[in-house]
This record gives sequence, C-alpha cells and structure tokens, in this order.
Amino acid sequence: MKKTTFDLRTIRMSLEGWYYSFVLMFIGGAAILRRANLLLILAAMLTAPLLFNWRFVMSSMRNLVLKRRTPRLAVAGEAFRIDLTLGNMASMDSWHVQVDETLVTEQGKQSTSVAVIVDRVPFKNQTTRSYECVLWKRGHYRLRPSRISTSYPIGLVRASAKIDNGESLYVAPPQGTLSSVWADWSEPDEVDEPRGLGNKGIQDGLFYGIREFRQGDSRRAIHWRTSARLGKLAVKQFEKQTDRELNIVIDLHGTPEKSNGAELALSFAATLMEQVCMAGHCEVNLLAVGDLQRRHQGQAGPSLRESVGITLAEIQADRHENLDHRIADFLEYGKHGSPLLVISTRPSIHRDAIPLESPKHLPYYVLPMDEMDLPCCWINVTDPNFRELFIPPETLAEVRS
Amino acid sequence: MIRGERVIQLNMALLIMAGALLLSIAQKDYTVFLITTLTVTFTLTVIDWMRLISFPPLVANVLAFVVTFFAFSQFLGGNAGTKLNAVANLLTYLQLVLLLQRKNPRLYWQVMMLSLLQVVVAAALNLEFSAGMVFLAYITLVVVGTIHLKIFRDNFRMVEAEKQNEERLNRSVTEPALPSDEIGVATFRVSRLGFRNERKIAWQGFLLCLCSLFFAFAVFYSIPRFDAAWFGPSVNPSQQTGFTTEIRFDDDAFLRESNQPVFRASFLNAERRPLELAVEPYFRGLILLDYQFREGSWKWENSRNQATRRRNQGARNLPFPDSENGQLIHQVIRLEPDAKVRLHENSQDHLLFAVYPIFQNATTPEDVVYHRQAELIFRDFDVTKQSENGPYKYETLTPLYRNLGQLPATPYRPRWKDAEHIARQLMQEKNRLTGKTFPRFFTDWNPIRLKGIQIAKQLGDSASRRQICNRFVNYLKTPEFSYTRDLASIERNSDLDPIVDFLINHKTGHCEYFATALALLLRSQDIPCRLVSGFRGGDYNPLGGFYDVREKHAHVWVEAYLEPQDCDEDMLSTGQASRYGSWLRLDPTPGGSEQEQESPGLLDQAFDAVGFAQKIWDDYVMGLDHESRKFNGFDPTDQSAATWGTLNRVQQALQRLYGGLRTIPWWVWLVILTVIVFGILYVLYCRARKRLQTRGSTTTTGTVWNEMVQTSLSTFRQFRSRFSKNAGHAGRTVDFYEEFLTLMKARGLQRLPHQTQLEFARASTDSLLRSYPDDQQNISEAVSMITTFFYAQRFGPGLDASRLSKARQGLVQLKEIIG
Repeated sequence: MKKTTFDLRTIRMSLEGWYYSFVLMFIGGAAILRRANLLLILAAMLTAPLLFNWRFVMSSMRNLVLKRRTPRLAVAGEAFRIDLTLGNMASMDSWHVQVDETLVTEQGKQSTSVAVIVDRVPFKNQTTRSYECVLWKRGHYRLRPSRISTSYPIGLVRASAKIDNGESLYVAPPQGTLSSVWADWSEPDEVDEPRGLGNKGIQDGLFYGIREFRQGDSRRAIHWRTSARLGKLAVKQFEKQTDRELNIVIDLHGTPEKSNGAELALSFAATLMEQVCMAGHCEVNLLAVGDLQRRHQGQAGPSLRESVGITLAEIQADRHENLDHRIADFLEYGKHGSPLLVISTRPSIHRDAIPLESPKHLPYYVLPMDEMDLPCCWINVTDPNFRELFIPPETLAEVRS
Repeated sequence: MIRGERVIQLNMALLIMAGALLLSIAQKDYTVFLITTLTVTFTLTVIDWMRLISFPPLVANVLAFVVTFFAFSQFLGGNAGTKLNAVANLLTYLQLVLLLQRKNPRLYWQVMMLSLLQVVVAAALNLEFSAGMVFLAYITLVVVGTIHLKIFRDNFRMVEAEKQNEERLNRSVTEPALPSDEIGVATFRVSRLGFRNERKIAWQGFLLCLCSLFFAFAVFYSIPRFDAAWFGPSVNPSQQTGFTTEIRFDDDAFLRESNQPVFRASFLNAERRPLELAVEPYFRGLILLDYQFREGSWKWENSRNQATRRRNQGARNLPFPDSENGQLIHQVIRLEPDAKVRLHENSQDHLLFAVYPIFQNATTPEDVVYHRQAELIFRDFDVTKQSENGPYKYETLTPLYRNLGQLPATPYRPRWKDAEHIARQLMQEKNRLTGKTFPRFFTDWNPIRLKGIQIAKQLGDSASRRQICNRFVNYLKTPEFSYTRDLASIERNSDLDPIVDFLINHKTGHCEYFATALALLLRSQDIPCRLVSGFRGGDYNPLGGFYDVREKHAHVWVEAYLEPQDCDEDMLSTGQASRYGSWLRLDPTPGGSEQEQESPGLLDQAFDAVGFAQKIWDDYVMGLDHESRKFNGFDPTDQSAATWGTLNRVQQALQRLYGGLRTIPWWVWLVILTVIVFGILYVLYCRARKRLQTRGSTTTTGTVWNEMVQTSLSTFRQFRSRFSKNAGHAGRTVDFYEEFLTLMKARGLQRLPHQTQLEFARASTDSLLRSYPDDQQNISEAVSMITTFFYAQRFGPGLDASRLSKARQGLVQLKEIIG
C-alpha cells in the first residue's frame, strides 16, 4: 500500500469553485464599496464553506492509502475486474474519494479511463470498490499511476494525489471454440503411448497448497502447524505429475500489417492452451516464433497458462527464417516421441512433407528433418479447412457470449 | 432516476423559494414569492417527479430572452431602486425558466448562482429582521444544497459514463469493426453509490452551517469600524409613514392604524440601564399654531415651519442641561428609514421626535439641530455623519419627573434675552395662540365660546387657568364623548366647522378632534394653547427595555401656556416652568394614559422576544457601528478595553448565576434531581424495550428491567475498560467480543455451548452473508478480525492499543452494515 503524500500543488479550484469565488468576490466587493453590513455577512458566510472545503479535502487526502489488485493477464473481449482498496489511516472519515484510472497501450497512444467513486472510507479502516474493463485487442497495456482526489463536501476545491502504482497488464488473444476433434487431442494414443501415470502416493506430486481436511484424507497429509493455527484440520495437497508431454510451436509468419492469419493463429493457440491447462496432467513445451521467440516449458496449469498468455499477448507476426532449425533446437529439450503440434500462418515449410492418415482426422505430416523424420500435426490457419477445426470469435459480441 | 436526485430537487425548490421570499421581504411585495412558489410547485411535480413535460432548451432560451427583454424595459428609465428591482426580478425569472427544463447538475448550479445573486440584490435592498431568519435558513439550504449537488453531480457523471460505456459496448456488437480510437471500455457501476449515509451528510451540512455562522460572526465583528453603520445603498422604494406636517379635517383625511414601526425609543438611567416610564411618554414632533380654513378645508398648520427653510437663522445646537433640571435620563431613539418626515420637499432634513424638554449631552450627534422658531428638532444633512440610507439614531437628555416619567409641563423659553423683546414676544404669542388674529374667530366658533363659558362658569370666577384647563379636559373625557377612528359612520353636518359639529352634535372623533376641541375651548377662554403632533406611548418591550413606536401610536395633544403666576413652586422646582411661564401638556383624548394594562400573555411574551431579537439584529448586525461594538467589548481597535470588558462581563454573569443558584431552596434541588433520575431511568427503559421489540422478544416489565440492567452493566464495563491502563490486556472478558456477541444475539445468532469462537464466527458469517450479499468482503473481514483478536486477547499474547482500536472499528463497521 502506498501512502499519499500531501502536496499543496495538488489543490485545485474546480470550475464551480471559480464561479463561486467570482460571485463571492462580487458580494465582498459590493459589501465594501457599497458599505452594506448584510452583504458583508453574506460574503463571510459564503467564504466559510469555501475554506471549510479546502481544509476538509486537505484532511481527507492525508493518510489515504490505495491498493490495486489487477489480474496480470486478461482475455481480449472478456470483462475482468480491478479491485481498488482505499485505506484511511487518519482519524476522520474520508468522503467521496474519486480514483481516476487510465489504461494505455504500451506505446501510450490510445487509452481508456474510468473514475471510481468511493463514497466513504471510515477512519482507521478500508473500503474496496471494483470496476470492470473490457479491452478489445490483445496486447501489452499499462495501468498508469492512479490519481485519487476528493472535493467533498461541496465540490469547490479539489485535492488530489498521485499514487505511484503503475503496472502492466497483458491481454491474451480472444478465445474461440474448438471443434470436437480437439476434445481428446491431448490424450495420448493408446497404441503408441501407454498411460504412464499411476497413483504413486501423495508425496509424489509437487506441493500445491493446503486445504481443509475431508473424510478419507490420509492422516499423513495433515499439516499440524496450520491445523493448530486455524483451529481445524488442514491437509497438504499435491499436484499429480505426469510423464506425458505436448510440444507446440506457434509460427507467426508474415508482417504485422499483412497477416490476418496471425490473430487467428494466436486465438486458436490461446483457446487450445486454455483447454490444455484446464485439463492439466501433462507437461507442455511451447515455442512461439514471431517478432520475438519465446519458449515455455512446464506443467499444464494456471502458471503456464499465464506465462503463455503473456507471450501470446505480446507477439507479432514476422518474416523469420529457419523454422526447421528452431523446431529442432526446441525438440532437443523435449521427450522423445512426444507429439508435436505446429500452429502456423502458412502451409508446411517442407514441400515434401508426407501427409499421414490420422485416426483423429487432424492434418498429420512427416517432416524431413536433418537427423530424422519428424511426425507432426501442422495446422495452417489460413487453410479454408481450418474452420472445421476451430470456430474463431467473429465479433466481440460472440466473444463475450 | 439517479439516486439522490429527489433530494436535490427538493433542496433546490426550497432554496429558490427562500431566495424569492428574501427578495419579496426586501421589496415589501410578495408577488415574486407567489409566482416563484407556484412555478416551483409546478415544475417539481409535473416536470421533475411525474416527468410529463419539459421545455426543450430552445424554448427555454426564447423564454429567457423574453423575460430579459421584459426586465430590461423595467430597468430603463427607473431610479436606482427600480433598476435594482428589475435586476432582481430578472434573476428570479431566469431561475424559473431554467426550472422548466430537464435538470442536470450544471443547470442546478446555474440556478444556485442566480439565486445567490438574487439574495445579493435582496441584501442591497436592505433586509429587516424578519428576513434574518429566512436568511439563515437560506444559507443552510445553500450549504446543504452544495453538498447534495456535489453528490448528485458525481452520481450523474457516473451514470452518464456508464450509459456511454453501454452504448460503446452495444455499438461494438452491431458494428463488428472495432473503433480505431478505442482500446476498450472501463466501467464503474454506480449502483452502490448514493445517499447511503444521509444522516451523516445531514449532520455534516449542519456542522458546516454552524461553522459558517461562527466564521461570519468572527469576521463581521473583527473588522474595525471607525464610523457609522453600513446600511448599504438606499434603493428600496420607501413607504413613508402617515405622519404629516399639518392636520386636515376634510373628508380625505384619515388616520393610519398600521403596525409599521416608526422609531424605537429607550430611556436609560445614568448607568445606562433601561427604564420603563410609569406613564406613557409623549414624543413631540411638530407644533401647530394656526387653525383656519384654507385650501378648501379646516386645518392646523404652523407657518413658522416655513422658517425652517432658513434653518441657519433659527437653528442651533440643543441646550445643555443645568442644575435646575433635576435628574436627567438618556433617551435613545432609532428612527426607521421609512419614518423620515421631510420638513420640505427640497430638503433632506427631516423631523426628529423626542420627549421634551430636551438637552444635549456628549453623545448627542452633531446633526441634531434645534430650531428655535419652529420649536422642533431636525436632522441637519449638511453635517450628518451617519448613513443617510439606514435608520437614524440619536441620543439626548430629558428630565425624569419624580422617578415616574416625563414632565407634565415644559418650561417656556423665550427666544430673546432682553426683557423688552421677551415681553413683545409673549404678547405676540398670546395673541396668536388665543386665535384672536383669526378674522372669523367670534363668528365661526361662537358655539364653542359659549360652551367654554358654560363649562368654565361651573368652576366659579376664582378658578385658575390650570383648573379651567383640567375642567375642559375632564369635560371631553366624559362618557358623552366617544372615541372612534371610523368617521365614515358618523352623521356630520358639512355646513358647520367640523369641531363645532363634533363638540355640539355628534361628539365622536379621534385625537385630532378632541385636541382641536380642547384647543378651541381654551382659546375661547383666552388661554393660549397650541396643538402638538407626535406619538404617544408605544409597545414597551420589557426584554429589551425599549418602546416600539408604530404608526398606530401617532397622536395629537394640546399644550396650554401657563403664565408665571399660574405656575406653582413645585413646577418651578422640578423644571416644569421657567420664570416666563410653562407649557402644560393636556391630553383630552379618552383612553389615553389610562389604557387598560393587562398582564402579558404567552403571545405577548413571544412578541416581546421577537421585538428584542429585532433590536439585537438592528443594533448589532445591520446597524453595527463603532459605538455599538465598543459598548459590547468587541472593538479590536481597543484591545485592552475589549478584553477586560468582556472578561468583566463574563465574571459578573457567573457571579450573578452563582448568586441566583444559591437562593434556590434545597427541596427544589431535590425535586430537580429526582426528575433527572427518573427521566434517565425512563429513557433507559424505553430504549431497552425498543431493543427487545426489535429482537422480537417479550416485553414484560421484568424482561425490560433485566435488559436495562444488563445493558447498563455492559456499558459500564466497556467504559471502565476503555479508561483502564491495561485496556489492551484487560481481564478475562473481552469487551469488544462481548459486544459482538450482543450484536449477533440481536440478529438471532447465539453461540451455542459446544461451539468454539471460530465455529461461531463461521456460522454467523454464513448467516450474515445470506442477508447482506453485497458486503461479503467487509462482513467476512470484520468477523474474522474480531474473532482472531479475541483469541489474541483472551489467550495471549494480548493486543496493543492500535489492534484493539482496529477490533473496535471492525465492530463499528459490522454494526453499520447490519444496522
């Protein structure tokens, strides 16, 4: 939490305040020039609220702290929530505090802003308000430093302070709908790949977290220290590990201006990754090649989803070469025999790639590589048949629905 | 409708009406207030609430143009007052035109600014005390209105932003191509925002008003004053009192019987404490000498008044008192602006009223001038220092007769110093004041002369002039004569002199008839006399110790000249007569000083209080000047006097209070104590019963008493723990948790014997969340914090002051949520 530092320069007279002051000066001037006691009283009585407003906003802004909770990754076209928690460390309530938030693109050329009003922040307490955002396009955005201000009670004087809480926000590509053929794509072929994962006991997975004790849980899993702290039994939870591995390559070939397929490819990749990460139980190796090249490796889950999402948010199409070498390098780290999926904006890079008859009706090929031929599933998003595999989000309305 | 809109609508409606009322009071014409009230009611109901119609901005602009044109036509060609009134009316009409439109914060703000300017004009037109209360109410409405407007403006902006966002979202649905200049929509939903804390906002508004009042008080009284009070420009069309410089007896002549104040008079002793005179004071204005038929009617006039045109010849300062004048009292008179009777059309000088004889002292203003020939005092505008527009305040001295009131007679003061001139003057006076210079004296007034002889004969030949005067007065006060102001119902003979007709035939009239009849009776007996017009009595205000003299107190009486041989020793010793004679005051009007004195009722006391407040307003607000502030110890230019004067007054007040309290007998204290104790018990009982009713429990006497005792003990424990040194580690009971349990109990949630505190917290949180889904986070956090802190307090390591304070705040927050 960042505490506001009060600065006189942040006191501003509002437009209404200027009108009010003008009328006040008029009355005061008339009172003195025309020697009228009653006008003098009127002027004094109208000056008091102005001064009170000034004093009140100064006191209200002191010792205010703001905490913003922002998701690191959002999805284009989908609403996400940003929570603002205002804490008041002073000994009096703060009223009608306005928090101005601005979201800008990385280049800072376009922006959208919102004003959040917190009607009351009790003293020695905090209040949380949220606002929702929908961003049309994927990309890297920045939340500018928040500006908190108040002009309560009468709106003539406004005190504001800048909170140094600027942060990044990544917006992943919008998600479409995968066709049914993808439902069990990530499941290994029973003929080629035996299920490798058995129940090896609770200690075999990675530590995931602690949850409440449920009937049937092993007593070995009880975390006694936490149980004592919480006053109830808590057990350790582990993730199951798997030997299964998926290799995915995203190939964005083209230029940012002339590559309609890139957005489609990214949308498809994001949708696929969402499904994989939701299902879990496998290790994913992902290589994204475009204007930048990034490699992700890890257990399918929220963490991987986030890191891949960030890459998908940032990457742009590019005319890169030597994809086969990059794939070869990429596969060196993977397990032998794991399936490879290439999502590309172009047909297979090898003209002599041999199509395979796949039981799952996916476009499988054998790519002749330097050392050996590599079987892979090559998805060309510019292929008209791609629509049978993936229904993209045509409009934002569809995206939202 | 946006939340809070109705509040601001009502607030603004009241504000506009209060502003119009202020203006109407200043203008003394309530047409504007009536029009405003009707329009505001119409717009509030039809446009704002029912939303049946509203004027589009174009129509409103045209209307605004029309009213501006109308006001401009009023503005042209008028005097300063008319111009200011035209501006004020224009401001009112513009407000009303704005009200005819659909409202938004900007429009409300414009209305408020116009209203403020309107009040400025009203203040320039000069506000009376009756407007003072409205003025305070207006300021309160302005302050509360600005708070409401601020909240409404925020809400309005939020709602508008939300609408725009909705539109953008809808547009993105219908138009698949994304707007190039937009990256998305950020929305803050305002459903939670609004007047959730109305009571607190109202309290803040009240505090703000109070602060404004104190601030205005401090500023107003700390600005140095070196001269007269600031009454502002005089632009109000003055409504002159009915007091005239002559008395006519034609059909058009009538007496005003209004309550319009003319002046306020205070009689102060040497310590400047107010006195109430035992008899009604007679405030002399003009002296009328000649009764004659001129310009088609019988009338009294004083040709000497013409001499005031050459005031420098006859004018001089008031005389200083001498040792013969006995005990003197101060008479302080504040003449209303509307009550300034000009002596001539071409002169600003105006007549002043006072109880005679009159002397000056150090505080008598220089501009109070005594005109020897006309025997009146007036205000000389060439040397005046007071504001010409406001009321005029002057102070003189007058003798106090036997601690009762004013002297029954005033000494004759010749204008000349040498004996020859004095003798000649006396002769002229006698001839003139016995009416012998009037050519038709013996023909027209023969019936009066015969009547006078008839009445005087009853006293015998040896009767003194004074006895004859009193006999005539008593004759006119017999039941034979009756008093009325309604002369239209009397059958009168227009062929006769009106006084002959009055005295011989109908015998009904008002003070002018009675006084004239007496004067003519006296003159018929060769007793010189003159008519005096002025004011008699007034409404005495015991709270403020002053007389409120109104238009209805206008009066006419007679002064008869007593020669030196008619004046006794007593008259000479008490300053009623000089060695040249005396003017004996004679009031023949029935129901004069012997007016029935009823004990004041509640209503009278209320009027007295209002009158006193009016005096405070006039003296220390509207009419605050160097003198009045010095008198009250508020003079910043004289720090020592101010400080010590104020401190002395406070000390004296405290001493008086202490002395007063000591005189109260012990049994009165016992009664007061008993009443207080029973009062407290009754309040506690009612509150306990209400609590039980809220919970749905039975409210028998026993349960209510039990609840009362429990609550009191709990409060006591809280109080004790709050001030305990070991508040953070207090005993085994944790007061905030006890309070939390009580709060939960009131909601029907009670910790069961087998439940741990943690389990109870979970259960109560679940239950509360079902009732208050919006405050999920706050409830969970508060309950969790209270329970955690309870454990820390109960089983160690204890809570420091800040954490204890946090726990209490959590409790307060919980109370606020679940109410």
